[in-house]
Amino acid sequence: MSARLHHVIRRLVRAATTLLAASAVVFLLVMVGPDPLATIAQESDGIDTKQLAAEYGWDRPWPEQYLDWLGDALRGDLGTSIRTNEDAGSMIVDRLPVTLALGGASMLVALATSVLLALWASARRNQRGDRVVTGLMVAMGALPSFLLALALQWLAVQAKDLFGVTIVYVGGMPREPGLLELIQRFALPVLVLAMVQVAAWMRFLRSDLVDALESDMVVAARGQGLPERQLRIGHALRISLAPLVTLVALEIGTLVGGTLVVETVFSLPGLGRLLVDSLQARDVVVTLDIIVLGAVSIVIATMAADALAARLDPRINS
Amino acid sequence: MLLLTGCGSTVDGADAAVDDRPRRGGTAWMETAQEPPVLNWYLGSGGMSITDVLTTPLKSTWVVLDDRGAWKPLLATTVPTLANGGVRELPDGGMDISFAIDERATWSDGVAITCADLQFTWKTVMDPRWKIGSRIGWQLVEQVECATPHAVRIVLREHHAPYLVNLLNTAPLPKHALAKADFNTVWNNRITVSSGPFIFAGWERGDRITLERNPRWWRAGPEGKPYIDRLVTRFAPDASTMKLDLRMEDADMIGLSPDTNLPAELDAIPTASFDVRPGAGWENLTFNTGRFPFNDVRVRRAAAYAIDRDALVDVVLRGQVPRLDSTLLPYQVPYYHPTFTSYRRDITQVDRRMAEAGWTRDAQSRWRFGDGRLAKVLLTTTTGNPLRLKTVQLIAAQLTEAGFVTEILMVKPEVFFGAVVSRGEFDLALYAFTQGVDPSQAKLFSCSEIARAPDWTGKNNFKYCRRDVDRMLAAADRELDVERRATLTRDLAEVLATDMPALPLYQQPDTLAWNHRLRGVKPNAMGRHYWNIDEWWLAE
Repeated sequence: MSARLHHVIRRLVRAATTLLAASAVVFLLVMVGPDPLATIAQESDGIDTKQLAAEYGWDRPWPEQYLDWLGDALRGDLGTSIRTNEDAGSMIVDRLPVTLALGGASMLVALATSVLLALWASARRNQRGDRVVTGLMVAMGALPSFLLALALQWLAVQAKDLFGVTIVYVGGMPREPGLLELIQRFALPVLVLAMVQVAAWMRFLRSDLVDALESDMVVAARGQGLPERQLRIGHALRISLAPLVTLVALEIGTLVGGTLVVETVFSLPGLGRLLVDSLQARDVVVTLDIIVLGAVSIVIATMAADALAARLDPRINS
Repeated sequence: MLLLTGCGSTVDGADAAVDDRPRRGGTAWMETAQEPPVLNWYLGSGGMSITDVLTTPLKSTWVVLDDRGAWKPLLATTVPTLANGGVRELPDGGMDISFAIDERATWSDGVAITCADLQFTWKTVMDPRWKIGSRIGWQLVEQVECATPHAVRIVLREHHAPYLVNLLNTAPLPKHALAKADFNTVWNNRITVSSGPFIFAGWERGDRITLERNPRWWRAGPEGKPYIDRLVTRFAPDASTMKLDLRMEDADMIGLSPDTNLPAELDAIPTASFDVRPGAGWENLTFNTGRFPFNDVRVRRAAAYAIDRDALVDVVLRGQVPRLDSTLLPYQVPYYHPTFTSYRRDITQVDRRMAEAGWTRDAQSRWRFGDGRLAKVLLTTTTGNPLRLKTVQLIAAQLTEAGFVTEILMVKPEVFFGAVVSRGEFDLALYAFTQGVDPSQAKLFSCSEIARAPDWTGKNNFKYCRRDVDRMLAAADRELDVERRATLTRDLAEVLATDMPALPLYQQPDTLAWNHRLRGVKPNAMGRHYWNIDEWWLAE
């Protein structure tokens, strides 16, 4: 067996163990929470909670319940929502596009902005422009995303009052199909998510770029008379992108958690909002599925990030 | 009735004159904070009030309540009562209800609505295979007789005074569409046939429910009602988002939970009107009559005299609704009888009642019982409701000032209802009951409704039990004559005011706000604002 294959198998076994442990912990945490039957009994007169408990198997020991859930999940059956009586897997699939669209768009915006700002700031290292931009990023990173969201909503309302027309909406899915309304609806949530990401990524990339520009390789290239632009983009940026890619890949893994606040504030029916609704309704089935799905995506994203980083920067493999 | 209405800006007179003629067409965008789990309102999981509200445009009931709380016939041609002969007391102790079905009535697929549908509804509700939310009233039905497709006679084995609410304010089920279906699932995600002015068009979970104009609406009339083509209800996460959407003209109507400054906030939106009226929920202080110190009626009455209910309404609600002096609501004419009027803050009365019960004030002016115990009060309510937080703080301050040692406990709603009030882990609890139209209070005050282990179900959280009161409650529920039932209900109100299992505080304000372009809205006293939705229309 080659060393490479051995390495891959070891990573896969480690990932599976992590997932198993994470799912068991999440299962336990969800099940020790407030009794879902109490909420259901409170909201619906006359429902037979004993029958419900028997239907969902909550009258059996926890280890048995966990193994059943795990077995079903491995076969692709994520169970039935207590709240809606729908197939939990279909509910998750239905909500995924919104979360992916939000996450994808915000990452593209954030990545482009971060690279441009980091290149600009690293070229002006320790000058006033660099200090202003870096300071702004620190401030932006310190702001909670819900505060950013509320501030942007307030600005949108002021703009409507000022101009008499809606420039961007403060939430909700488009009323009718069409690109313009889609942009008007998604502009603010994408901006909020992107701002949070830019605040972290830009400083990270700037710092790596500064180091890379002082590295032996770049200094040697500069000595060979390569133009500064080519040095920065062709050499320094390429080296610095490897750790950033890891960061971005990890962000994909935490997509559900990241969009939770934004989807809630901007009334978007994504996975984050489904998680909030399920938690509020004590829908343990859907809650458990989404959180475990989040854990799965983090593990997969981490493995993908490692592979991508090794490809971008050959030093990592060696 | 106290009403607050507002309009952010005036409507131009000329435009208003032109706009007063209803127009056909357009999409109305509504917003609500809650999404129903399923659409089938007969199932246990469909028993939430939001399900009833959202499916109202899809239903015609036999009788309906208008905006003043009066019963009107809808599918039935009359409102059957004892007075008009529609209801009869039978010699065997039972009763029967007879009425004719409007011959114009049809389902959205064109099939006539007949007595067979009512018969099918009764059988479906009583079928043990289906997870029905409530069978109250239906379980007393012995027979539904259909002399002709449009002549109904319902026979009940005993008198059931709330028959209008429990049996006739219900929508029939279409026998032709559901006879062979699995009722536990068939109408969970879509309503296939409608008897109302709209038909179901789609439900995008987490986002919206879309209804479309029923082209076969049997009450369309020469005007071709309903006027609106599409009715879309979107689910917003909170009140702030809904207010923003109304201001951005992205929502035509929003329903909001009460808050101290809500009317002022809505008044500042120039393109919207709003209406605040006392709603169907009544906020109360529940005394735990099963444990010290409120197991003594004299201490309960002393505590009631320590609380300034007018101040609560003025400070917390800025006078949006008045003080409530009954466990029934003013719209429940002729049953409503205010018997708690004498309970105004009066420290002399507090001192007198406590002294009668054997309490004396210590050096710090706190009440101590003969055995040295303090008058400790654990005051509890739910988290997540700013109004309740303000209210318990005021009440705690007033009780402390009167000599009670008060501790506040805020708990999450599911814990509050699931573990605290049902199991009697409190002295005083602040929360609301929702009052229907019928004055029956047996579910609240009967001994049999006290929650007990192991299930802890039952709504008598007061732990209040008097056999003579049980008899009064049962007698009121059996009495078909309105005046005689009103007398029994008033007698009961006197007992409740003396025994003080609960101190009513106020009716929760029901706030509705809508865009100026939406016309024809007539808010309803019981929060059933869609009652005349076929008359709503959209101005350009």
